[in-house]
Amino acid sequence: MSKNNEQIAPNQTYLKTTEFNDDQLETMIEVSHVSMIFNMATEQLHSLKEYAISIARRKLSFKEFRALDDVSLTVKRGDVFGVMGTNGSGKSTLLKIIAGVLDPTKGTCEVNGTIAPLIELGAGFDIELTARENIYLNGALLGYSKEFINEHFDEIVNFAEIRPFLDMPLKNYSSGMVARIAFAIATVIIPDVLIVDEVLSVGDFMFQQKCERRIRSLIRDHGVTVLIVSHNSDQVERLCNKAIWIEKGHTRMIGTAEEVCEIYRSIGGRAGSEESESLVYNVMNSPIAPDEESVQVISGKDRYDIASQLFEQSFPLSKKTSVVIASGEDASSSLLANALAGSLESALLLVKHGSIPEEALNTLESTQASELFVVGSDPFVSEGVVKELALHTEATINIVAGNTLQELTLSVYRAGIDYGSGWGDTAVITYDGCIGDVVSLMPFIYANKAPLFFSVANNQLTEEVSDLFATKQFNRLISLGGLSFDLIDHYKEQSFEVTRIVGSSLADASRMINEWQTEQGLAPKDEVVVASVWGLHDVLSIGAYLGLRGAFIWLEDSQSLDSIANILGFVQDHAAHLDQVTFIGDDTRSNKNDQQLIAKALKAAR
Amino acid sequence: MANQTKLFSKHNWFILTSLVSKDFKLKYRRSALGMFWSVLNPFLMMCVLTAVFSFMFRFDIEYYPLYLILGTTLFTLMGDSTSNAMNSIIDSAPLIKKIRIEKILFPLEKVVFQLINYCLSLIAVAVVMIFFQVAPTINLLFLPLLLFYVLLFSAGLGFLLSALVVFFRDIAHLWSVVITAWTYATPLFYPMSILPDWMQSLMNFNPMYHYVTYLRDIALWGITPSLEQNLICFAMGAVVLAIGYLVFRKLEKKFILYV
Repeated sequence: MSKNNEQIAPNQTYLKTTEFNDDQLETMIEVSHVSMIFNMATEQLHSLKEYAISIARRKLSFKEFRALDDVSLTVKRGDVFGVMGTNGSGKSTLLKIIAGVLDPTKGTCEVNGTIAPLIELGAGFDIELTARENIYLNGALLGYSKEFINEHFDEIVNFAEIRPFLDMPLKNYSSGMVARIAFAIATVIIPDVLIVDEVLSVGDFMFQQKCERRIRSLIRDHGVTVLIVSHNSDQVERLCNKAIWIEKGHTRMIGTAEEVCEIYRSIGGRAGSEESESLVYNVMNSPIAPDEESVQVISGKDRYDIASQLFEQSFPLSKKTSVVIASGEDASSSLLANALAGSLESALLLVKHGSIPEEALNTLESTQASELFVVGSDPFVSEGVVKELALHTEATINIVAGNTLQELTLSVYRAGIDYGSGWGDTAVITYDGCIGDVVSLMPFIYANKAPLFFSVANNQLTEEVSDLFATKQFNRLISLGGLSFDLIDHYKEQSFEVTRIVGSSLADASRMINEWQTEQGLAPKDEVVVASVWGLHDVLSIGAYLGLRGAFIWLEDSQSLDSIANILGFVQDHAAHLDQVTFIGDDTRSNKNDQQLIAKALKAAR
Repeated sequence: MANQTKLFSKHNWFILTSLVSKDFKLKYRRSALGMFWSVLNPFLMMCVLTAVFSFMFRFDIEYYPLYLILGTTLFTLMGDSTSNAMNSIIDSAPLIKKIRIEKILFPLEKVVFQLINYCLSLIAVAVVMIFFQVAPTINLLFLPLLLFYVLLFSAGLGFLLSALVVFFRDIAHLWSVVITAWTYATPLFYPMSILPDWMQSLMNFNPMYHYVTYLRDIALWGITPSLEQNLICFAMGAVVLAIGYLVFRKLEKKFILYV
């Protein structure tokens, strides 16, 4: 499968505006129907010659670029107004217009009172000059009078904590000190309107807190109206009372900071179609509280920890007391082990190549397994690990030998016949490294006892596999990932039923595979598992867990609204027989917000 | 706070003086002789040029070194202030993009800064005058008036160039060539008399010729400049200033998109 490289443009439709009943308050900033259009020359013309040539050729064409499109907002006295949006959404352009640096192409912007723009601090500093000289110069540029600076000089120096270095050239200062001076100069004045453009992201933690305190004191003690630009929704929620969210120059939403931040966290900055967005938006806005009991999170400190937890939940369900063991360091070999576990109707545990992680050992000791199947000899699982296993369990140890992936594939196939219940009539072919698609297909692989075969370079199958297919053991092939059509056609000609599944991204492939599995008559029983496309190694042993309880797995791309919307849609469709949503992945990958969304969708649909 | 409506507000004056003092500090910081270079530099330049032109070309001019230093310093005032003003907008791009500020202050400041430098170099001129025992006459009182004309002219050119160069960077390269050509097209090293008649009449269109002649008249030859001379010098400065100012005002709103 290929990674999705094409960026879908974020949505630009208008969501909603909350009316504020505060007409009685004084209007500080009135932006009405402002559009900013840049003429981008299709070619960069920076010289007279180029200019003359293109005029002569009549090729001087411009492409119109709308940085802002009909944006309106009103800021009242005392408001702390947040401006949110992803990079390039037009936030800074809007601020520049409000600060009076840029004139809007259309519309008007009226500001009542003085503005202190904290846009990119330290513009106008000269590194050759001393701090003292820079304070006066920068003060002058910001519009202070000499008397004013004289009066507040000590205040600035104290805030910036630079007294001992006052007469040192700025080039010898640390960047943090420079940021402190800049902030101190910019906020020494008590303006009517303060514009803060992500300045709080510079400097160290202590300084950030100091800045935030200063801004808070301006808001609280002096009633300063503040405009804050940020893409950090937590910061906006903490400091602001109102917020606007703009995306690609369009107003998405204006409302209270809480409202906007809540929706921005779920939709903001994620690419997706309008349908996806409205689905997510509707779920989010539904008043239903999610059922805490319907959400299960399986996380752990690493993939082995998670694999052990999955094992503990699967093993009691398996029909045999055998355990399949594979190396978690080689994804393809552990996928083979999943298929073998399917044939053996047993569960799977992951170890490292050279050692057995503690969790795996504890889990293994607590089970009374009678048989162990170790998938792969060196370089997959070392002899040392096998010896250690023998020390800790009484079980018979069968080694499914293989030094290469291709050898291992055949060994696993034979082991399925020798020890297990054999294989079904469907085989899965894919390539080494195509992990996500195989994981998504696990419910089918486990239920149908489908063996897994890996192609070699040039999308060929090895001779042994070709021979095996020639014996017509299987009548159906499923090709995962972008295997070549030559190969597919070859087997079609030999009257195999071939299904080729390729998605534009991992999440997309996951959707296609789940739809296909549903068509095949499989239906998710009780449970749906969600894992992140970025955390595939956490679900390397998921096969038994899914297979034994008939659950489906969805791979979620948290950057893509479509991916989330697909999962929501699936959950809604199958809500009747779903009790639980399980999220798998270490703590850093689980997005609380998305968990709540999916749980909400489940509750709502039931 | 900022009163953007008036160019000559107290606030803009503070910005202007701050920028001039910044340039001053940066120019002489870390040099042993410091501000003395403003005096020494034109003096040394005069020595070199005197040596070159006295031995190689031999023009028959009385007080040739004085003739030379008067011309070159005044021309340097115009050349340096226009060149520096030209780059001032591009150089202050970070500021222009972030702070609402009177943009014309940047080229204006460069011209003012060069004027102050010129005043320092007048010390060198005075030394040469003392050396040649040329007594100053009452006509020297016309000097501030001349400097005012030259200021108008240089500021006008500076405004024009600084605005145009934002859109066409080629001008920056071209201008140094123009200045060199202009140096030779103005009678700085040679007397007017060596030129053929047609060139002499063409010279009337060279503002720098008028300014240099004016300066030599009042400082070297002790001639009182005529009303006509004053009018020509003023008119040339005023017209260039008007053009430069209008062009600048017309283009300044688009600066932010191109710097």
